[in-house]
Amino acid sequence: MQRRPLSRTRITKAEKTRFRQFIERHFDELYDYAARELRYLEALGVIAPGALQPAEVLNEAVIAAWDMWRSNRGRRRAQVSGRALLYSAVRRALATLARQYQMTSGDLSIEEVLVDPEADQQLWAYWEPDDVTTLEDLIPDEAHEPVEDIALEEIEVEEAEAILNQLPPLQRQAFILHALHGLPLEETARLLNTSIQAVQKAVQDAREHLKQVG
Amino acid sequence: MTKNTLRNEALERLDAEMSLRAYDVLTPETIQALAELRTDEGVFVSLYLDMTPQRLQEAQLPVRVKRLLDEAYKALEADAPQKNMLKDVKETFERIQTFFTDEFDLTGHHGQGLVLFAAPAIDVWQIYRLPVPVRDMVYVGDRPQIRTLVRIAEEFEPTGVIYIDRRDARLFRVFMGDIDEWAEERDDDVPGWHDQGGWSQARYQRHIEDHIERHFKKVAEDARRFFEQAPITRLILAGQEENTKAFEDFLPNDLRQKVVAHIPMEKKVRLREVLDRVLEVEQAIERQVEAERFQKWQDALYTGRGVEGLEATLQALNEKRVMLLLVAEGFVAPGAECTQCGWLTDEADLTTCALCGGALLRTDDVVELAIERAVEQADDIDVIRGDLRAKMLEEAGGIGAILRY
Repeated sequence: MQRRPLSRTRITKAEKTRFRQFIERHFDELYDYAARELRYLEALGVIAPGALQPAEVLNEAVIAAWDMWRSNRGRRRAQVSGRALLYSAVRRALATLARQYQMTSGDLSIEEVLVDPEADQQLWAYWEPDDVTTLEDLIPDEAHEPVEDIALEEIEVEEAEAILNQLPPLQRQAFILHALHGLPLEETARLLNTSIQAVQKAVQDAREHLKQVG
Repeated sequence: MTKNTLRNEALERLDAEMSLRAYDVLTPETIQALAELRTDEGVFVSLYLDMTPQRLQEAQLPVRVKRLLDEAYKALEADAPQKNMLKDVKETFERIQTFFTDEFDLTGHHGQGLVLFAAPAIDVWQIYRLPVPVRDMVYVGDRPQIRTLVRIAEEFEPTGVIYIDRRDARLFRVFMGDIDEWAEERDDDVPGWHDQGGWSQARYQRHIEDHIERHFKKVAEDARRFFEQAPITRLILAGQEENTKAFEDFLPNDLRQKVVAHIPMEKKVRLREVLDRVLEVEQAIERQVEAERFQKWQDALYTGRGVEGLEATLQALNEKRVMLLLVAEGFVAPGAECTQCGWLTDEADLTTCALCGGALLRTDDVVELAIERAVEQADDIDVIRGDLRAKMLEEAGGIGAILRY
């Protein structure tokens, strides 16, 4: 019988520290993303104003990201960067919390607005039992971080939000994730379960719409 | 609240989660699965470690582990087993040593004991945190040594905890020092006691009661669903007594019958504290249960429905008649097991099975095999740890059973 390594899932103290630092580094941008999405859900009437707080979403997302990384580590190779996985965790947490809220007060389908569960699954695309995913795979060094400040040109974020909210869901999400938060096109496409071309077009359409209105 | 504070709070929760999830989760189903594991190739190493603060201060953990493994290796060498086996043992021991030297994170342990099962040939590497201290031990064989685990497990039946107040609820499941929490429930529609606007006090009171009733009903239904997925044998209701008492009436019958305690608790309590509180309640209940079962066993001995002593108990196990097995903690005795039919005997020097004529395999600890056998056939196993342990050892040969017939 071929001998396998004794452990594929043991997590070292250094790895935990790195994961923690990674969360710490990205907390603020994730917080902003969660806050914006909550305002969007409030504007749509999916949740009542103030019903959910960004901190609740982040708490849920951070634990989920840890579980996601921990359970897939050593078994499946991530198809996106660690940063994109964090955004995915936030989107999932938003959907979960909003769904819980709706259980008592509404019936709108939150998946249509926020998350396609299929897309989430496909972030871990390949089953590679002997191919250990390391933190390096998911958490790049600072030097290799994608540029986060792809600006929203001259438009102030707050003013733009109302306009952004008028965009079709795909355009809006693609624009926010790619143009505002600087996720690469490919990762944005994976998060939204669509093609790179579709994301490119959605972002372009969104930009044009914003230019016209702004 | 500033973003800094929120970030720190999120990181604190992450730290707690990381320390809780650094171990494999032990469930009754896991123990059953472990009892059935065997390896035809290579070795199965079971390592138990005392993780009490006193013991950890005495010597560095990697040093202690090294000493323990070295001694075990020398003992195996002296027994002159096959070279292949020694090679497997050496490799596995080295891997374990590396783990405790380079990888193990002591800061998140929070347990009193630890057990590691390693069987490279069948890809087993499991680590469980134990809520009570264990003696440092290492076993090498073709199966995991689970007696100690079973002994502890029987004291920590899966326990559910429902925190309830007028607006929120939290659901937990605790088993052997590990805890799972379900999603928090929150009913934002329940109005506050002081925010009554222009309503009359009586009308407002009724309004509040109506909301609370709906909240309690919903939580009771959620609890029914949660504990269907994660079965429990006991339930603790936590919160202010007036709330837990009122809420109990809303529980479905089967859950209500499992309620063993009402304990005071704040909503924002940390998982660690919930665990500690549950462990206190559980240990008190176990001592009580132990005394009751011991008495039942004494009664059964008088009526002929019980046995005492190793020989009689092994015979009852061989005949699959055991309903409840009682063993004094730390009781060890040599014996043998039939390699064909599994017959157990306390006569360690016998070489042939009295039942089928098969070859007998000697063991230094037939009690361990007895407990494994009881896991398969008995309703329950009770390891007597409290005041009755000495009595059990001195007067009843350390082991006994209540029989089905």
